[in-house]
Amino acid sequence: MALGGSASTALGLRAPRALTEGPGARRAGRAARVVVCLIVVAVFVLPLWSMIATALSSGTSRLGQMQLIPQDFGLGNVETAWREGMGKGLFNSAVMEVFGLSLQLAVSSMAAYALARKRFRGAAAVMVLIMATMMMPDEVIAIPLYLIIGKIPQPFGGGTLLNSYGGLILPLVGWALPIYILTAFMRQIPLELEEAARVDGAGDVWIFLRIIVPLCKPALATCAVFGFLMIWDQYLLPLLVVQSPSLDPLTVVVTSLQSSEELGDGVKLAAATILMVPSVLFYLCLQRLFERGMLSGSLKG
Amino acid sequence: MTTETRAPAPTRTVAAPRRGRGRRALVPWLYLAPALLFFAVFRFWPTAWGIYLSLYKVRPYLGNQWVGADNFVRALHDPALRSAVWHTVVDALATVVGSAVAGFALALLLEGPARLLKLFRTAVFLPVVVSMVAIAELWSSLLFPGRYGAANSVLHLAGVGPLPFLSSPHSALVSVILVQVWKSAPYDMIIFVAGLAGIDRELYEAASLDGAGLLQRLRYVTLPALRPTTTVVLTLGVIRGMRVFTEIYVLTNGGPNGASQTVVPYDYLQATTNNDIGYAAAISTLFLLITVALTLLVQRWRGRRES
Amino acid sequence: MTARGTGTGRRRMTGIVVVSALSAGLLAGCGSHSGSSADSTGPLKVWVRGSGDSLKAYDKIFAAFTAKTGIKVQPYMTLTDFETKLSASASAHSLPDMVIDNASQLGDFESQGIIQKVDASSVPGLSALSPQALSSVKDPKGATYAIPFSAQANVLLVRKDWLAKLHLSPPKTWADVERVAKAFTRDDPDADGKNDTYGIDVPGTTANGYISWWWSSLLWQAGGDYVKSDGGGKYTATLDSPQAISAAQEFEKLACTDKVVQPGMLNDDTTAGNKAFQTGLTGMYLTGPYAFATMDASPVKGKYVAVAPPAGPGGSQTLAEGTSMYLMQGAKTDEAEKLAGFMITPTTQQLGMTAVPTATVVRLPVTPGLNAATAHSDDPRWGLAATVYQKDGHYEYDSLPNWTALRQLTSDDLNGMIAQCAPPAAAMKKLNSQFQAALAAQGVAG
Repeated sequence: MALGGSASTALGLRAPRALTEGPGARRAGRAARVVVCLIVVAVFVLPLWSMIATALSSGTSRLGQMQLIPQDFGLGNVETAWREGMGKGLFNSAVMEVFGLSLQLAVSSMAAYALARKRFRGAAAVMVLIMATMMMPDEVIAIPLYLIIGKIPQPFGGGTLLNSYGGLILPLVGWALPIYILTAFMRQIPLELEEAARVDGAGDVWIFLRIIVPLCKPALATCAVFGFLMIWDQYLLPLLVVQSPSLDPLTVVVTSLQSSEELGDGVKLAAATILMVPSVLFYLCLQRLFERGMLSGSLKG
Repeated sequence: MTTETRAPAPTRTVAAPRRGRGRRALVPWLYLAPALLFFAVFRFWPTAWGIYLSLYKVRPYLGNQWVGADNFVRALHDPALRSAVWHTVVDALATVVGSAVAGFALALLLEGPARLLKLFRTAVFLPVVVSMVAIAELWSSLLFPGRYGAANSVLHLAGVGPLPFLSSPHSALVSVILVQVWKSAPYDMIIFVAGLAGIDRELYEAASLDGAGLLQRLRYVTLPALRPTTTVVLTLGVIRGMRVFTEIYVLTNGGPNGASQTVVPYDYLQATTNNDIGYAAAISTLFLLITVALTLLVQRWRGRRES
Repeated sequence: MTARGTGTGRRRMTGIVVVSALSAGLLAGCGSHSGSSADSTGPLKVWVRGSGDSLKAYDKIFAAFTAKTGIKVQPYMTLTDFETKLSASASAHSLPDMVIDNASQLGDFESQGIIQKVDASSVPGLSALSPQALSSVKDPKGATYAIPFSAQANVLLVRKDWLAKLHLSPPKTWADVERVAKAFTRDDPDADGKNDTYGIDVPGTTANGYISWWWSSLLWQAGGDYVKSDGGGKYTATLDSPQAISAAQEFEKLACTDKVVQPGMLNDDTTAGNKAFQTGLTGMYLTGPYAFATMDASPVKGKYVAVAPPAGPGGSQTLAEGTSMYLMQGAKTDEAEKLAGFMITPTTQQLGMTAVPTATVVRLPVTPGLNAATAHSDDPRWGLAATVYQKDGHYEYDSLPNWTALRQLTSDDLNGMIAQCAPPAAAMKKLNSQFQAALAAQGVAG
């Protein structure tokens, strides 16, 4: 029954009434489809679930042994992981997200506004330069990047960006993907909206803030989900920039737990689970807007 | 649209005409400035510095030695780098095609406005939003090569195995590719779902009335309409594939016997463990050249397609 | 809405890309040769290569140091990617004041010029340390470049409950090891009715050269060696000697013919190796006595014995390792020397052995007169470890200009040989010529 609402699915799987064999066959087909769907969902979800289930098992399992149902359910692994500095890591990652993601979205939507809705010389070159960075992974410029972070003075207070939140956050602000997505999305906004406002005497800033940005909400949600994950996933940058463990973000804490010889696999999987939950929750919160952003075709071509 | 009727700040209406063309030409650059600043400082500058370092034997405390093109010559003759390039190409192609095909199949299966379908899509999408560090930890456990490892237990039900997965040079790269496909197929699925949703339903109806079967509809209606979507999926996929790092670094560290080593982790290894920053910079520079060439190529190809 | 590529537009675009790349290159050239050294004020920065509970032990030691001298210490510890951090900070001339790392880094650090020569007279107590430990901090010319903090030599851990179940005794020779390993693999020593155990635990990944690190004991037990000294700081590779080939054959027999090594071996590091022994996957593990603490914190506690490494045709030498303190360039030398002197006092050494039960950061003390067994309430395993170290401990060639690279080379080839189960003689021949070439590249080939 669940799929009954699917009035039109891909390929027009629900053929015109005249061609169908009858209600019985249709129901059987639908049931088969649900079964296939469930298998597919299992392929993608069960591995993640087994991580959670193993993390929630107390009692030691053998190297490489995973559970589908928690054995001797207990929070011991989670508590141990938490005691090993996960709390501080979570805080640092949250700080990176709050400042990094808002800056990233702000800077990207401004750039996208220029690229999508202004005609100017050099626009194509700028686009190429930005897109080229998308293919250059951080790892290949890690050492020079580190050297530069060590040269830039702190915006507030003394010293360089090394071993500071600034050093963890500022290098993440410029990212090509949100610029790409937002530019594509903004190009689809009808010109008339802007022109009408201009006739009323609106300036660029007003148009950008009051017309373009609100209309871009779905695309911004899409960018927020990807941006959140990009920042959440940072490992190499913090590894280089941080010199006192109190600044380590969650990824670094989790990785160093993984190399511990005292802690069991359960604790490591618990740590990985703690690392997984916030990004999943963030996605689920923005899920509706995110999918609207994707469906609106900002990534469609 | 209530926004249109609201009165904007009056000062702007006065300011705009007075300054004339010069100011208007400046406007886009003002919007671009913050982004360009960040890109310049944290992307272009390190990249350029890397190019500079590639010409030296880097010895921070003994003074850098100018070696000219030596690092590049060495890179071109480095058999380990050559095999890493080969693995990168294989990995990128297999992952791109694998994810695109799987993503397309998923999209066909799960596209639609029904609530349950939405729920399924959300569930299937989860691997995309999980940190790679967690995914790697998870899969290195699941792919444990012992008889009771999770993946081997499942295979055992089918009467196969146990397989060595990441621990054999013959299957390490394939195993990493499978993990990558698992993580990126749902990403491609969502893009395909967007593409499918944009296809006019009447085309299907018309094709059906003309007696087209399922496969024919797929071939003559769906695939042509999805061509731009496919381009995006493949482009993003190639970008992902070229820069693969964490998956390799955490799952196999390039092993066994270099069987799953790709360019970026190899480059990174030179700069860090082997302490050969100049040589690593040369590899990075070659990587950059290929990247720029590819970007221009794609841009040109898109430009041609659009005109 | 933007201008789309007309012919000229595209050409101009390419031009802009090239010009900006070039000008950025010039910019970088200008900015590259300044460098800041470590702060002359502030706490003493100490980076430790290690993980988990070890940090707690170091914290206690440093707290005692601060209490005594008023000098604050800011430790940073990591195991994964320690080298990454170090080479990055070296390139920025912002090294910490002290690095606590394996003794095997000595030649590498010295040839990079990132460590200071140690003036024995300014570190109190240094010259009184055990000669064996002191030998691990000297370069081929006899100059001291580090201060030893801890030492150890590998011993063999064996599951005694498995031995009892199968009526076997702990192995004393290679032949014993083969027999016991086969029994552990095939005769269900954990009696769970499943074929899920293995005889020997090998951390066989190429990362950090672990596979070579494990195999070196085999090499010396076979009577072989990596190099022979030609005098005058010159060496010749000897990895194609019959002894070295027989060490490779023995490894291959265990891994390929008898298949008594844990699956996953080729990617396993020591963390995974420990885990395999702790969780009852493997029954024998050649490892350092530091593992006693981690094993005893796991279910395998009390179920294993530590015995002397089995003898091969060439004796029973085994890998010895040290933990050393390096004074880095640009360091606050006076304070760092004070800390180093503090770390080798008997009190601190004692603290390092016992402060945190799960992490013996001082394995065997470097200060004479201390007894590891006594420190661990007469634990005979520590007595054994001390004896093995004194009698059969064999350090790697730490002082070669870049031992790390040579070890990596050996690791890559061994890992490849085992992965393909390739003929050992040919593999060792190939390795030997590469090794010789690498020695030449480092300027120490005979």
